[in-house]
Amino acid sequence: VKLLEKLFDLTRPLFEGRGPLRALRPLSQAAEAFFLGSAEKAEAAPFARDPLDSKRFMMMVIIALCPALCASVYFFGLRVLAMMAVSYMAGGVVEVAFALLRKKDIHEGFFVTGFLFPLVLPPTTPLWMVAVGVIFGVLVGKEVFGGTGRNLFNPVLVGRTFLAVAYPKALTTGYVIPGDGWFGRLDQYVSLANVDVLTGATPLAMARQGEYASLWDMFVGSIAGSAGETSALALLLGGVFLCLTRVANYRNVAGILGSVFVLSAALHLADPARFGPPWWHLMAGGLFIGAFFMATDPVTSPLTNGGKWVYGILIGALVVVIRHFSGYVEGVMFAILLGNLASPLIDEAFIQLRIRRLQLER
Amino acid sequence: MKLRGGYNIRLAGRPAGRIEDLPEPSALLLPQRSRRLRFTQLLVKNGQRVRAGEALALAPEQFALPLLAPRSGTVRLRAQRGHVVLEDLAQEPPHLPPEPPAGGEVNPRRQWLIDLGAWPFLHDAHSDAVPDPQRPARAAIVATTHLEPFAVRGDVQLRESLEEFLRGLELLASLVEETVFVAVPRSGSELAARLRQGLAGKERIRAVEIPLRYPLDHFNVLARALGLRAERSRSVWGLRTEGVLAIDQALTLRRPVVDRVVSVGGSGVTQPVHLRAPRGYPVEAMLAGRLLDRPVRVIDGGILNGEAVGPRLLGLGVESTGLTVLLEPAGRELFGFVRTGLDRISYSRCFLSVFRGKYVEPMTTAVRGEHRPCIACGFCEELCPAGIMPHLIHKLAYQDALEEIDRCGSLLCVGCGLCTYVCPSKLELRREILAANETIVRDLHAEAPEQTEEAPA
Repeated sequence: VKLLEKLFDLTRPLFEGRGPLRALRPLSQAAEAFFLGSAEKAEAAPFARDPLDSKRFMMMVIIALCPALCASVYFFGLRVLAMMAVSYMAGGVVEVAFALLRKKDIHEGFFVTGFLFPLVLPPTTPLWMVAVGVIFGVLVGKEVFGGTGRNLFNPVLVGRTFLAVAYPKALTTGYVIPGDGWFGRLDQYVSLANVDVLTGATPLAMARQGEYASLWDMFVGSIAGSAGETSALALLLGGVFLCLTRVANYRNVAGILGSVFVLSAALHLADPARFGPPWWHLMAGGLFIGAFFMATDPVTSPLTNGGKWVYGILIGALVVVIRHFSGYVEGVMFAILLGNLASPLIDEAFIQLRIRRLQLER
Repeated sequence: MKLRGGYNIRLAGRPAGRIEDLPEPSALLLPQRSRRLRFTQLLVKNGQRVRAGEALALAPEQFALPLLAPRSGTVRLRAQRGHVVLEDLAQEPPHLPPEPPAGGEVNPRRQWLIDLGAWPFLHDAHSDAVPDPQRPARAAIVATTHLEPFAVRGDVQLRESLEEFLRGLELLASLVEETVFVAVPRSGSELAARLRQGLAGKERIRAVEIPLRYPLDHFNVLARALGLRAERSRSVWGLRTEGVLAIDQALTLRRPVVDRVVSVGGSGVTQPVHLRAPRGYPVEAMLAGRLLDRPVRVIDGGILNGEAVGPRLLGLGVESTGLTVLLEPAGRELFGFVRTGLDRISYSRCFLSVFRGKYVEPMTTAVRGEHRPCIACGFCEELCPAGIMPHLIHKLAYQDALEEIDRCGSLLCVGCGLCTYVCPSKLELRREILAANETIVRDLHAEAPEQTEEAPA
């Protein structure tokens, strides 16, 4: 630690003021923050501060995603790791480039985006496509709005939507039969070349033909789907962890899952032949990863507690509508983006209510 | 009674439950300014001999409240900047001011409180200002606890003088028009039970229970919860245990209130204690032998809204409730953010210390993180005792939308500092809100002075 401190103390003049490397200052600061944390002291009251900082906050999300990553590597092989490496590199370059341009610090939020992005793609997505998607997501989804904390849409979903629209074929047929046995596909690097592993259909697509995958397979994750979205169990573990640590707000999650369950149940009761059972729909597709990890992004969801419920219920309803009454088989992505779009509006309504109540109290 | 927000931070350094007497000092250094008072009008000359209880200076802007000499001694005016110094101290019976006339502008009992130095213990519950002695008081709110870490504890003072406290309450009730509300902590302690028993059946004195969460003992928070709105013609007083004891001392014993109990607490102190000291007691002597042998920061008041003691403050101020000493951060941690955090107390549940029960954390003055944009986690809003939305005000302040900020109720802020304490993005929310409020009061409400926060809506 002492050595590192010395190193940073020695190199600091290079980056600060008129030093020769001043353009790279955000990089040196990010490195220092990463290794040693902040050295700043509180100059005004309050003189002590809570130990939670944004690095820790983001780290919690990554810890929570680890079970899903493990499940994903087990079912779909080592390629997922390669996708993740590409996603981090490509997205990291954009993030750093913008930080250098703006002469602002590099923000930690990207670590979550880079981690989450490959998990919502089919496991055989070409690596260049992963790079294009994450670059688009970070650039258009976040940086043009002013960076972390100011974005309207979830950057992961912006990137994925872009890919889904630009390369619809790769994103609808790239699904893989999951591995099984002791080692799953842990020793494989699946790609479009090993044809034997490919299928074309996720459970939601098959459900349109009236074929329902077994609940147990969906719970464990032994189904075709995007790399990280298949294992309801792993996502549930991580998601509940996030809600318990209060990094994710349970109101968003409960709103979405509750409304999907209730609406699917109503449809199922009305016409069991056409609409699947509610439990099945809860675990199908990207609902869990979306509900626990994307709709809970505090920046793009409403600030107010009441707003969070409305937002959750709105997304849940949109998921059910898109799944059952549109040309798409899966609607979580669009539903959350639409929810993001609505969240400032929802907030506005709740904030006005709140202000009116405050003024009455005054 | 509806109270919201608040948080009891578990910090190491809580002062112990007994009161120590300090040795008589060789000199007293009386600061001419404190939080609300500015004693700018000097009444004594350099080298003049004064008796204990004599007025040394007046605060012309605060209803001419006097600065009393805590001991008899010789005045030195220019020895220390901003301070009146008393040397060659002697123990003499105190000087008593003349009996106030019955028909004066101010009620004679109130005049006693002013002349004997008890008035600065009173606060206007809504604005925290010094209440106007000529304005009738509708009600008084007495907070028997002081929950800010680490202000002087009410229970410590009550334990040794419950009788005087109850007597002071009755005197207080005779000074207000309606009710004296006594906020008693929701606690099963024997002292709380005795206090409740003492309050039972008293006319015009009402006990209200409050949870032990900072800052629910704040007068403004309590006034709002009790439905006591600000009125133009009458004020609501707020005072603490020491204030009631001061009223008793002034009106029952007719003795100038020149000593007070203060706390010395925090992570930088070897043994956090309560001390009984005259005003002006040298800060250096108060802390001598009590500090840890490491860099520390001394704060006048509590951790969350005290003021750092610069070279300006040499002696204990008239309004000082105590000193808090925090360690400066020593060294830095490698990969601090991936630590398990078993030794960290956090409002969030992101550290393993959530499984650790009664642990307290020795805090330093480190900000503990980098400044980042707001990520809308909502912690500030959850904790806010005033029910406002600090994160929203932060966003509006960024746009300089003062009128919007005003509409969001920023004037309701009591400055407790909890939002800034918990913010994971390390935003200086308290400072921003208070700065915005200052501009709002100055610019937006300038034309209509009646419409400030004190006026009923």
